[in-house]
Amino acid sequence: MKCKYCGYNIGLEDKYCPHCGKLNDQAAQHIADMEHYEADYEQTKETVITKSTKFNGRTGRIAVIALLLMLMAVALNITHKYSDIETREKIKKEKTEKAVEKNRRNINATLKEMEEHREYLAMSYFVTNHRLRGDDNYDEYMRVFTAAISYKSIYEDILNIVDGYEGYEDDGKEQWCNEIAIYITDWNSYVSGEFWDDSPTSPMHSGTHGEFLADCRKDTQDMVQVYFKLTDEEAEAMWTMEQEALSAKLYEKCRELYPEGNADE
Amino acid sequence: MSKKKKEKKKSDPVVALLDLIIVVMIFVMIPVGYNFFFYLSRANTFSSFTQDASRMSFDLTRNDYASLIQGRYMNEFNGINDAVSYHALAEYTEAVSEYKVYYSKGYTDKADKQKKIMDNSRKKMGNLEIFADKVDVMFDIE
Repeated sequence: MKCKYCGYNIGLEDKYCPHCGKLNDQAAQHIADMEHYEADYEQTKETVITKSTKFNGRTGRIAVIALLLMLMAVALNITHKYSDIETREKIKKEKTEKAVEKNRRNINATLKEMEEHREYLAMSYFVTNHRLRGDDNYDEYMRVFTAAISYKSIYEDILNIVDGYEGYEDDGKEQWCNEIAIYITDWNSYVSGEFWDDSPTSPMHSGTHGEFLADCRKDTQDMVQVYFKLTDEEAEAMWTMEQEALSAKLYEKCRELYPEGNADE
Repeated sequence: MSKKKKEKKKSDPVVALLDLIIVVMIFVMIPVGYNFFFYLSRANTFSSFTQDASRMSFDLTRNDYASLIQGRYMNEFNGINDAVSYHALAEYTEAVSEYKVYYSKGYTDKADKQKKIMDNSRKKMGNLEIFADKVDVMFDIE
């Protein structure tokens, strides 16, 4: 553009003509417009920053609260799940069943080996550890399992008498003798009796299992005989005695052989 | 300048409220988190019948040799073999108890087999050998 006074070439931003020094009206208007726009821009910028900061502050905090709520819900849910004994048992049972299913072949081989070597204690703990008593795949073993568990229970009661352990409820020797009598008198029902409702020729108590059951009974008898110093006749007779009479007999022997406080002397 | 500062300090009441809620929630989370980890650890502990050395030591202080034997079996079935000396003592106790039966009944071969187990486990039980001596006295074994 040109200066309207001297015709010199001037720019839009020149407030005065650099040649004649007169005021450039168009530039003044332009500069005023620019200042106005700049002020508007700054105002808008400030508003945007303020609003977005406020928005970010709230959104961020709401996100943190949502996250904390989620964590709390998960923690409460898991706490509730594991604090309940029944639920915990159920989870444990499911885990064990899956593990047994996965290792079925090894478990079967171990069972056979334990049965062959008459490892009553080992078998009893093995059955408990893998919860095999409730597993339909081992129905054939039910009498064998019951025999091993009965042997183990009698063994533990004898051990408690010998080492003087009193249990968590101060059970004492009379209680241990009574438990032994219960397992022996129950043997005729749960190990060799009709409890399982199977035929006399069923594999549950014939063949290999039958031999195991006979040995387990004999070994149980030997164990009770030795630890209670019974005669051969007394040991043989224990299978046909009434529970109360057997319990009283064992306790009488126990008081004689294992006087109180004997273990710590 | 000071006016600007004052303007900057002017906080959003909604943000202040949200901050308060966060602080309260953090305090609530402390007991919730504690319970969470407590029950989670219990869930793992109760997942099997295994026993660690401290539990087996507790059994010994109570003369509970039956639990010691059970612990050894359960540990071995679950691949836990850390408590070597306690396992050896458990094995020894079981062997002694069976030795007594076989020896008394005159089953020499079976008694000899248990005697070998007793001798081997004595070598592995370290400081716990004193308890093996106690077991011998309990079972009246020479």
